[in-house]
Amino acid sequence: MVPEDLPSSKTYEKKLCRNGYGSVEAVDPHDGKMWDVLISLEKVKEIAKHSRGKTLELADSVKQILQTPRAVYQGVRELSEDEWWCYVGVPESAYDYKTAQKRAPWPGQVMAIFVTDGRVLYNWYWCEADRDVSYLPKDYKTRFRKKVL
Amino acid sequence: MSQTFADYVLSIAGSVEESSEFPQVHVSDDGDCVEIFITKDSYYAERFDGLVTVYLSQTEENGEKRIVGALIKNIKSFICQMAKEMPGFRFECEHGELPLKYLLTAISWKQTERTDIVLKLREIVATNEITRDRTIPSNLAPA
Repeated sequence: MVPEDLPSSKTYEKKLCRNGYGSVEAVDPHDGKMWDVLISLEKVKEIAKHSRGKTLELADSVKQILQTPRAVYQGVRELSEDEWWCYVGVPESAYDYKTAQKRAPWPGQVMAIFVTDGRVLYNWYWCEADRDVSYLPKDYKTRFRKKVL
Repeated sequence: MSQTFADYVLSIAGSVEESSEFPQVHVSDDGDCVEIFITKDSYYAERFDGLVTVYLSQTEENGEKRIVGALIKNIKSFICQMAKEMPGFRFECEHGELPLKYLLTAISWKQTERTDIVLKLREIVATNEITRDRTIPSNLAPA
């Protein structure tokens, strides 16, 4: 079911292509099928400059949560972004940024991935999990405007 | 895109040399933000308010988490707000650029929680030769 204030799937393109950006398939919160999320070439370069571990996390863990999230929220109150999306979940693996070694997910934490209303991957990070629902972030009931998936 | 996302990311990463030089400062127009990384440690995020998210180390040193970096969001509106409240602040934004250390100072004036962490970041940015003269776009109209 498509929430009333979300555009119907007929009003937007599932596939996206923009100069200077790559794309990754992610769950479309409108219908549970797939749509494209963009990531800027510059962002990928900055991540690569930061560390091999973070680059591998983007290629593997971030992609996994975008495609199989435990929940997707719209409206990130703490960022004052009413239309942004937040994909959350616990991927199968994490990566140590210093050593680039694959490892178990960080205990007691979940991955939160932020996507702008222009469907650009803005950022991701690990954050503390909720005490009662271990696959959702702490304060998930108040951090977001609504749960859409 | 016919290649997989992983191939795409790794092919771009293959053309970029991983840097051992820290701190690193990444400015993003997509999200109106700046990210500061002091070290390469793995980190988790703690959000303080609409402006600052601090990155803390996943591992402890002497029983404490270390500051790995920070994400500062909504910079444009913050700078505009500061310039309205304190007109002298505008003069720090010469040629449309604001020194990063001054941004952190201004945030510490407004921050109500964990000012100590923002000031610690400011100290590192202001004293490290990589970041002490680093500026970010202020996007303020000329005075």
